[in-house]
Amino acid sequence: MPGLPPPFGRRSTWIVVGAAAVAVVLVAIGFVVFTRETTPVEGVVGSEKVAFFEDERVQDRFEDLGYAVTVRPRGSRLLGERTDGADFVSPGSRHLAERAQELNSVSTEYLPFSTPMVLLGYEPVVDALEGAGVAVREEDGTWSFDMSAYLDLTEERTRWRDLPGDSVSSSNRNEVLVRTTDPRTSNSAAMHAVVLSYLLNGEEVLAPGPVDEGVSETISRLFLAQGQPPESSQQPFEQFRDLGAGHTPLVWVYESQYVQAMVNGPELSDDVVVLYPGPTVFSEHAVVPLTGAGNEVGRLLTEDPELQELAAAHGFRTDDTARFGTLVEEYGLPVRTQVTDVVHPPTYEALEALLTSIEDTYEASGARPPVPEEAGGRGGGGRG
Amino acid sequence: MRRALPAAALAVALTASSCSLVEGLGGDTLRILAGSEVADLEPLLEEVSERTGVEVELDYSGTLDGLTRVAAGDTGDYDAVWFASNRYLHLHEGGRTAVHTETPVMVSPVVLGVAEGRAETLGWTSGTDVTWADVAEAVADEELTYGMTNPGASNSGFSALIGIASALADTGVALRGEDVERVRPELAEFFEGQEVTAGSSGWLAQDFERRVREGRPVDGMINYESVLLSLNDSGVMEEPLTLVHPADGTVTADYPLTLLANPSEETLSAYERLVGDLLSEETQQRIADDTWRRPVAQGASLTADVPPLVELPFPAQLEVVDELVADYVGALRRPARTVYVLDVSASMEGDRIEDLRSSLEALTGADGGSLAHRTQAFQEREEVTLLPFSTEPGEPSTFVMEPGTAESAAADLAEEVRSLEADGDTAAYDALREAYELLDAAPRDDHLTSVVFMTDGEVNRGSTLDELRTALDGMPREVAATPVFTVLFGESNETEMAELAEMTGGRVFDGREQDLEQVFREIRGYQ
Repeated sequence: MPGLPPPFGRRSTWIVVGAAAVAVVLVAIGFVVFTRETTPVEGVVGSEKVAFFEDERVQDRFEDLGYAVTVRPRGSRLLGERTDGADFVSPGSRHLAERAQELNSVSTEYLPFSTPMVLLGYEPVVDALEGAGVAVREEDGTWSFDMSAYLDLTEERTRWRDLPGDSVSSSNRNEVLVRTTDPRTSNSAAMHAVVLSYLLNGEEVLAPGPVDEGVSETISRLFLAQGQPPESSQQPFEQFRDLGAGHTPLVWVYESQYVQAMVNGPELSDDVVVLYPGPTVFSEHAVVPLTGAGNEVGRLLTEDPELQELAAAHGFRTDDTARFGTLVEEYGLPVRTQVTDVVHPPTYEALEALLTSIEDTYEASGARPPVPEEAGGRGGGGRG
Repeated sequence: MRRALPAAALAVALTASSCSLVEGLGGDTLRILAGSEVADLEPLLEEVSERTGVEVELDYSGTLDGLTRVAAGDTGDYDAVWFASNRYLHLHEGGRTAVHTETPVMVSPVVLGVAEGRAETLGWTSGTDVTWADVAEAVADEELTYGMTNPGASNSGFSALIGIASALADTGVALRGEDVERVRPELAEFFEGQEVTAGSSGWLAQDFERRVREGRPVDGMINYESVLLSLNDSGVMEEPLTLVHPADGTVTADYPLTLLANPSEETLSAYERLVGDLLSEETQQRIADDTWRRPVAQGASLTADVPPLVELPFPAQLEVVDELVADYVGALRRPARTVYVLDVSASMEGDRIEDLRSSLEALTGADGGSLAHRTQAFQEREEVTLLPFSTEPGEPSTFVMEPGTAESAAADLAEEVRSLEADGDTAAYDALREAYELLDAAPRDDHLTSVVFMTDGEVNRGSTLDELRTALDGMPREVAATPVFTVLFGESNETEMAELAEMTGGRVFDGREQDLEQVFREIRGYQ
């Protein structure tokens, strides 16, 4: 390697010796500290919770409590099936937890934390939406997003440039559309479908049975019109964060994704606005135990104050609302402590029927099948 | 085309001390199949390698070609791929499962650059909203001309084509098959203005500058924002390009560094270290400063004043995209007129002539293979002349791929190729003169003309290169400006072939180490 001075001469040997000595000491310490055996526990979880379970602090806490927890991600709709010897499953929605209980003949479920679905937009876009009567700034400074008014805009195929005001959106000819994850695999997009179906069904939670064709068609269009589906559940959020308003004006995300980004970074830019859809839906993260060890994980996640604290640090809301409240106050985040306009997801059968009809529309359009959530690693590369 | 970047000296030092404790720090290599777009990062990657201990080996391939290989799982021993975009990959069923992780490293939209004076005349000064439809109108009413890369070969042309079709369809949502059908007339009109094609975005920029220098400019080119900004910054252009970011949106390249499925732990770790460094604020700022691409990490920023991205929705269906590209090469773009000047002297006897025959014949069949292969086949409306030579130029035979009878014309061409026999001396420049005379005699129409010149040895008979130069000086300018794409083969005189390519504004391709068929396929991107 011409031109480069040798960076280490004799010193490298010294470092090696030093490192070896440190290693010996570490092994000795390990011998003392880790003589207590940990029980391996494996969970199948929604991809949105992988970062939480793999957080070193969470891993360490479980280890202190006697468990070595590993998780693998799986698409939400398949979460309860083919559990392949897992100790617990953890979907991002109550109705999926019920399905998992039913499939595995389990009656227990834990609900350690939850998060509402929100929209993120950029200021100029939100201003334009305000002018159109879709976005409203409430007295406490937080924003509401009228989902019915939004549906009206999409019904008229409104473009961004058609919205009032002279904002960044005025030259954007794309349809006013919320960007979501892939509804065929992802819980986040399914939650979007829950809200849309509630409104299109005359403000009634979808009942089991055949899906109304009109409802299904309208919802399918709102997904297909977005074009090429994202390659991972993280991609829409990351593109929103990195590529700006002209690329992704509005994105549908878990509130926890927003809080987590603002607390742990990489941060979103200053002109990002959080909007609470009216109505919204809560993603209730559940743990359905399949073994005794899985049951302990569910219990600890719900009861252990340290794990609850860590969940809050990941942007989730826990039973003790003070944790979340303190965190968002500390960071001055414009989020609501109380989210009131909330609908419940339909039963597993009803939602599954709707998602299947959306999937059929994708297939009929010639789009390739969805990316399994568990395929490969992450889509976002080490950027959270 | 391989370049190995030096690994960290640190890694070498540690490996030398053969210490397993710290082995993880270095000695790792990532073998990457890349688009030529990222070649400008090589100097920066050397520094990244030094910091991370990850050695990077880059091989280059056309975007569609490369991504099709990934989708089919045909990536040999590559650890990663790095093209300007993975959009085409992800239209394939096998696309996502072939990938472990992808990380966008930087972004650049595909936009239009127009010579400043021309932009002013058109009223396209900064702050005015110009749409792709306005550009189409300028082509029709103001005879606007431009260059664009071949969508079958290069991502910038591919992105431009999808973007322009989406914008002209103006549905506000992702393009569908029926939309393409509806806007075909406008698309055809738009591409009447495309006077220059190219197999890569870098070569397109060079060719643009060359044409300006030679006094036969085109008005603009469709290329990555980063390439246009770099060209302006390089100082070689007397008249800078005005960047037009169409208001109705563009398709953006996000350069995802893509780790292929099932990596070993060492590879995964090497990838993560590389990505970690590439996304660091310092490296991101260097990327912005050195390559004019927009950084993706906060803290870094582009010094140029560019508008926010407006992204056109990308189609979800492979079929929509494939058919649009096939339609572009077969019907929408200006047809090509090519003279293949082929050495059939005695030295070509045996394997060489057989290699030549099979390589050319491969271009005569629409083999129903990948989209890249489909676009590389001879297309309807195209005119192909074979001019074999040895002691003297042989009888030229011209094949016109008339719509309707294109298949039988291609079959005739294949027949002619199969009948090539090796014999005699190498009077190459006489044959080239003949090729230019043939082009001079051809009608002055909208065809994009070029010459492919293949010889396996020293020119030992007839005119010299200097005599050819003199002959070209006496020819009409538009004929003399036809580029010669030279193919090195056997014992070709590398210096002369390079000089010839430089003299005519062509490019040298190496058929000595690379498969000859692959070389002919690559040249198709430039025709």
